[in-house]
Amino acid sequence: MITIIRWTLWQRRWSLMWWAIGMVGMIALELGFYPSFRDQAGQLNQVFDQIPAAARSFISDSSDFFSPTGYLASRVFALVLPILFTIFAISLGSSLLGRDERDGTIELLLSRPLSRSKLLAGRALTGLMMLTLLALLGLAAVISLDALVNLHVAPGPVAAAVAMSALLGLSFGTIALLITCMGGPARVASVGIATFLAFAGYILASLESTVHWLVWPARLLPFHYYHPSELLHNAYHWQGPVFMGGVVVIGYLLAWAAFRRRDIGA
Amino acid sequence: MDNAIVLDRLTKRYGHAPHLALDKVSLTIKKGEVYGLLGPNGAGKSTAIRTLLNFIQPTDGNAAINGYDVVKNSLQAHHSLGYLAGDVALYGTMTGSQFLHYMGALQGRPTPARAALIQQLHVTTNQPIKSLSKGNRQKVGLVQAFMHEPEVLILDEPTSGLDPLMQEAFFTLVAETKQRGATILVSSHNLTEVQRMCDRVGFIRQGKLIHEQTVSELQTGPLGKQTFTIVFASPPPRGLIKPLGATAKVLQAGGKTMDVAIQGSLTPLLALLAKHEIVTIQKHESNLEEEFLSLYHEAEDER
Repeated sequence: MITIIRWTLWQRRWSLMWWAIGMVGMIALELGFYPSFRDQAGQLNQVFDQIPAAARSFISDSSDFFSPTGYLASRVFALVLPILFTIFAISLGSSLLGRDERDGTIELLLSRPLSRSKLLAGRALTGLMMLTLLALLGLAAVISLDALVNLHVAPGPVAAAVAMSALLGLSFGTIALLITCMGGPARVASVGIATFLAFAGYILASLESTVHWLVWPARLLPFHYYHPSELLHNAYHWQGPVFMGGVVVIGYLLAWAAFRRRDIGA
Repeated sequence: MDNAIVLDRLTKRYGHAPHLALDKVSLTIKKGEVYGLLGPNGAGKSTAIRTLLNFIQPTDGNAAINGYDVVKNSLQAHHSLGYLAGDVALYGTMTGSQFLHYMGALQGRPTPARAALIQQLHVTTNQPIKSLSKGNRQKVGLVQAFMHEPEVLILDEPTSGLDPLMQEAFFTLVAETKQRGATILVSSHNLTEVQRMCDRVGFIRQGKLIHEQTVSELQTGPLGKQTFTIVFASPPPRGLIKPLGATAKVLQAGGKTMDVAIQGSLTPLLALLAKHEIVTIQKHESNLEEEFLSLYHEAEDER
């Protein structure tokens, strides 16, 4: 399994590097602009308060948009990181095994003394390691820029918010992996289905405070449990990590059950 | 245990397909034997091989490699196995050298033959695989299948994409591998190729194994007919090959040219021809599809 992890990481090294550059660039772009309207934060918040709550909830889970914590929550943790981590994890989840199966290279791997369980575990662990690495780089970038532009948000809550957005992405990545492992036409649709679930969850979670009956469907999707501004204010709820962790564990077990005995290339 | 590969009523149906892709195929390949699985495209050769490698699950029946069930004990079955697909898919961004290193590490066995194979097959190992021609990629595929000197090799249409020179090198490689006691299962739709390599062949059609025979039987049996076009310096006399009796037949004659089909040894024909001045003799490659179909119809008639 170590061989699989080592070589998969090696194969993906450039892609990971470009993702890291893109992510750090976007964080820098978002936070770099903060000093230019820091002084008008009070007035801007007043304007922002006049926007209907439903529209506001698309931008942030906080009503405080222009304070350092509010800005970090709404720009970096409600937009950049969850979206980047989700896209990154979905692309990994759908390609870590799916690409080998599409190209036929999976036969070279499975003709060796390598069980399907180990191949799946090796690839899933590689994905987890890549996402963790990206999240750590993201954390380092946010903390560095936090210091550079004097946001004064403590590193502890920032780390919790980064971890939570990475876990959010991981849950969608696992859904993509599960769909890929089911084989057949589902394999091709894995990116589409996982992305649809992510966006549907995002929209439902944004609207649920206004359209109350949406709370129920929203509860079934990870975005409902993702509240970065609470995390940055040191308010912590166990439901989020438990739900998303549950999606990851159950999704992985279902992926294993689907992949271990099915026809390859079907 | 003398059997390297055993298929026991191996059956495969894809989804709800009306026909079986593999219909109760039973065959036994002894250790050290080179066995050819012959049949037209879509006959079930690749399905048999892919089931044997546990890429697809049998609907019924079972199979074993070196005594290990290919589904229940696939790791042990793959421990000393080499596999090559006809349209081999490799990792394009890796160089040949990196790829072979990766495959060797996954096999978890030393690769004593790697360097010699790279030299013997003139493999380009220092360029990204995606920049290589189809033939050169196939050579990399051959090296990964043979480099750990496996006891059992399963090769699915291995010569596709190889030029005639490399095909020769491949036949030599198969002969050397057989000499060290390895067992080889090779699928092909080329009768001549199989005759060059194999000890025994099995004919597969519509998922069924319809006939098995040794290659020596193949030379003299119903499939052993060879066809030649002979061009004489001057028109040959009528009834030239009559002394050969039923073993030879004139298919077509006109002017200085004669098409002759002959079964069994060529010596009597050559002895007759030696009395005349011959410009050229050209052998026609056996048309497997035709011969195979005739064999299939015979098998049907016998039922």
